[in-house]
Amino acid sequence: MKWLITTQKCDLSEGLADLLAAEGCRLDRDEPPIPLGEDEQVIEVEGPVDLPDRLAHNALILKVSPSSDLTLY
Amino acid sequence: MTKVSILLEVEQSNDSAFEMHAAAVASETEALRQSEQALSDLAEFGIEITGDVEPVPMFSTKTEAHLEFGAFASADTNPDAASDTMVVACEVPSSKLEALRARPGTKVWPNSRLTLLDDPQATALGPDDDAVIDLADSRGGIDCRPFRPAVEIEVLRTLLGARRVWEDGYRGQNVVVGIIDEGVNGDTYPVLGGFAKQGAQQPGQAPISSHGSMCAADILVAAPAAKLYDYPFLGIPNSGGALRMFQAVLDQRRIDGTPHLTNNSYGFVGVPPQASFPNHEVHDIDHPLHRKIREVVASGAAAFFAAGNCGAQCPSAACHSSGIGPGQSIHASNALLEVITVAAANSRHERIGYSSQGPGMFEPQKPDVASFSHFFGNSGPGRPAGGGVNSFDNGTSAATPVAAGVGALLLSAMPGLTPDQIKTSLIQGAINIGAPGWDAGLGHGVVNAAASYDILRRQGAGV
Repeated sequence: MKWLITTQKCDLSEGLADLLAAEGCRLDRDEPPIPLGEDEQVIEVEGPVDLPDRLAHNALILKVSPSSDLTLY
Repeated sequence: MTKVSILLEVEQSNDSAFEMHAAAVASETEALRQSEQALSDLAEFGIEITGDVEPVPMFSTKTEAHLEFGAFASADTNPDAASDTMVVACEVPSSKLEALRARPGTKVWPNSRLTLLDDPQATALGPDDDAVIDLADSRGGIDCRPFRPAVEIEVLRTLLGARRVWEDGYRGQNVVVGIIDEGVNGDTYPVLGGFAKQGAQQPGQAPISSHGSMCAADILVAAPAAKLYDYPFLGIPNSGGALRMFQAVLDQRRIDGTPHLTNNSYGFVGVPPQASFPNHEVHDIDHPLHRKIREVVASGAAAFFAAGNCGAQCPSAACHSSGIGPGQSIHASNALLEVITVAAANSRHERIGYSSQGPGMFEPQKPDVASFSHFFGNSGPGRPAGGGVNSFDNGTSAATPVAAGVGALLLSAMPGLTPDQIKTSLIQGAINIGAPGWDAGLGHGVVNAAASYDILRRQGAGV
């Protein structure tokens, strides 16, 4: 399942990518996070259905949102 | 004995004329009572009340009531008013007619038969502008399968009033519209740039039959001199792909202020249960995609979003039952307050039955406006993508870029317009269909470039 993970702005290489990988996420480490607001960022990953629960108590993670399929109208 | 049908006006003042008339409309017995009371002094004339029209109060132009009527233009309920005379539909023996006319305090008016004019559709589809205007008979009906025939672009240009703006020299020049879709054909359409990941389909590389190429053609209906940026989704479109495209829009705007607006003819086709999926895009107004879109609009780029194709009358086959019909078919980014949500109408101002219906799941008053679909834009005889008369641009996907093209046209004339000014002018200039005000099918009405342009010019906006 595809997810959008909102975190505080940080460098993926500083442990966050490894943390997400440990929770079963696959992400493109070469793809830069998408900035959001002044001090947040969004990372696209593929991960397990229960990813929100897995990351619920991690202080680095602000929000886990689905990246649902869109349909052309 | 020959009788003549007349309207008889008699002197009868009433301080609460509107209330009294409403009572007559509500009750035949009350209507008859009022008529008999009005004619109580005229028994010798053999008058027979026909009863097919309730007595109608009339207001003398010399009374203050006429002055008070000026306030009726407001949306507020006004106080009742005093009438001076009453008009009653009745029949009178022809032999008594002259005597009745001569009687002080009464006026006899003819009650002539009216005839319905010819069906304006009989003259439809003519090539000249007058016939085209006849198409817009504003019946407010529903167009469902089999749909009415598609029309040429020129018909839409006339219905939109685009030439009014063109006459002043504005055709969408110096405006760039970002198309977030599956890609645009840059050999046919004026793609200046855009964004795509390396190795993916680049801006302008999509086939002419692509959905994005249809959007490109439809933007150029009202704004033929506009330029385009192509933001093709990466693979299967999902909110993450759209999020990345909106970031690319924001990046470009930071550099040179373009694109000036975006077209978004996509969305979701079902509503998962909120209890199970509280963070889904249709339920979570602070989903990252929605936040990013708000950032883009805040940067000054209006975002046009399709209402969707899940209207109750003839929904698209792609629609899930959970997302069909009023209150559940306009959602996610397409229902954000900050965006301009567009429903679909045909060239006769009939709502197309698949056009999704409000209220929106975030902002209730969605759609904002309607625009035209079902025309030969990218597809159809002689058009870039080809096809016969049954191949035409369709969906709220087509209606939205037509409206976005109107937005581009307004921006070319008034480059300083904010997204909110564009939206407000489209709403104020819209041709309202059906009951006054907003409605769940077509919002505030069908966009009209000429009206919106004139409104903005009078305001001196955006210059």
